[in-house]
Amino acid sequence: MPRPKKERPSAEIETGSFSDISFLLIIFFVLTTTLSKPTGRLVDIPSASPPEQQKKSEDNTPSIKVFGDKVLFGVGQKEGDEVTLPELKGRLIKYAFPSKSEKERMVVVEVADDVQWDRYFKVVTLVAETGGVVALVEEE
Amino acid sequence: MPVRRKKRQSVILPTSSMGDIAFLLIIFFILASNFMKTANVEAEKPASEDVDSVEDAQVSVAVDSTGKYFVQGVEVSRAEVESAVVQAVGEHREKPVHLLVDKSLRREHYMPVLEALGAAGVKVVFVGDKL
Repeated sequence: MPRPKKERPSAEIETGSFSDISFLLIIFFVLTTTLSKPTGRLVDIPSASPPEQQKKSEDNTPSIKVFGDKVLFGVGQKEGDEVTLPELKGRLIKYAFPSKSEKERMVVVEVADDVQWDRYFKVVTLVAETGGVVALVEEE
Repeated sequence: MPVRRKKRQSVILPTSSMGDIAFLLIIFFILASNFMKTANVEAEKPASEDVDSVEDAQVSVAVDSTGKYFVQGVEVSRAEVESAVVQAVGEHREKPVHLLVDKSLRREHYMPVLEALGAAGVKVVFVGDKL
C-alpha cells in the first residue's frame, strides 16, 4: 500500500502585500515630515576694514549703539539720542540706502557686552531691511 | 435557440509592479529631500519683524545655547570657524551661509562668529522667525 506523501510547505513568499506596505510607508513619511521653510534675512557684513578707513567714514555715517535697555541713534561722532525700533526704522529709511553706493550705505552698529542675540538680531535685520550695510564695531 | 452569452472580459489589473513603483517613489523622496544640518544643534531662534522666507541652506553655521560652534552640524572650536566655513563654501561664494544663534547668547559668543564670517567674505543669512 503506497504511503500518502506529506504535503510540502510552499517555498513561495507571498509578495502581494508588499506594495501595500510600501505605500503605507510612503504615506507615513509624507505625513510625519515637517516641511521647513527657513525664514531669515540676508545681511551684508563687509570684511573688516582697517581702522583709519573706518575713522574717516565716521563723520557722517549713521551709528547705532545697542544696549540691553535702550538703542541710541546718532550720526558720526555725535552722541546719539534714544530711539525705539520703529523710530529707528523711520530714520534709516530717510537715508534711502538702496539708491546709494556700498560705501555710503554703511551703518555702524556698536553693541554692548550684555546684549543678547535676539535684540541684536532685531536691530541688524532692521538695518538690512532698509538697505544698510552693517559695519561691526567692538566696543572697547 | 439559446442566446449565446458574450464572454465577459477579465477585470484583473496586473498589480505586481505596484511594489516596485512604491519603492521607487520612496527612493526618489529620500534622495530629493534636503536634510536639516542643524537638527542636532539646540538653539532657540530669535524673532524679528524684518525677516522673509529665504532659500534652503547650503552651508550652515550655528551656535547653540551653551555657546558651542557648529559648521554643517559638526562642532568646531572658535578659531576653526572661519577655515571650516571657507572649506564648506568652496567655490560657491555666491551661496549665502545660514547663521543660527541661540537667542539668549551674549556678545562674546556671537561677535567672533560674525567677524569670522566677515573675514571669510561670504554672504550671511541671519536665521530667525517672523515676529
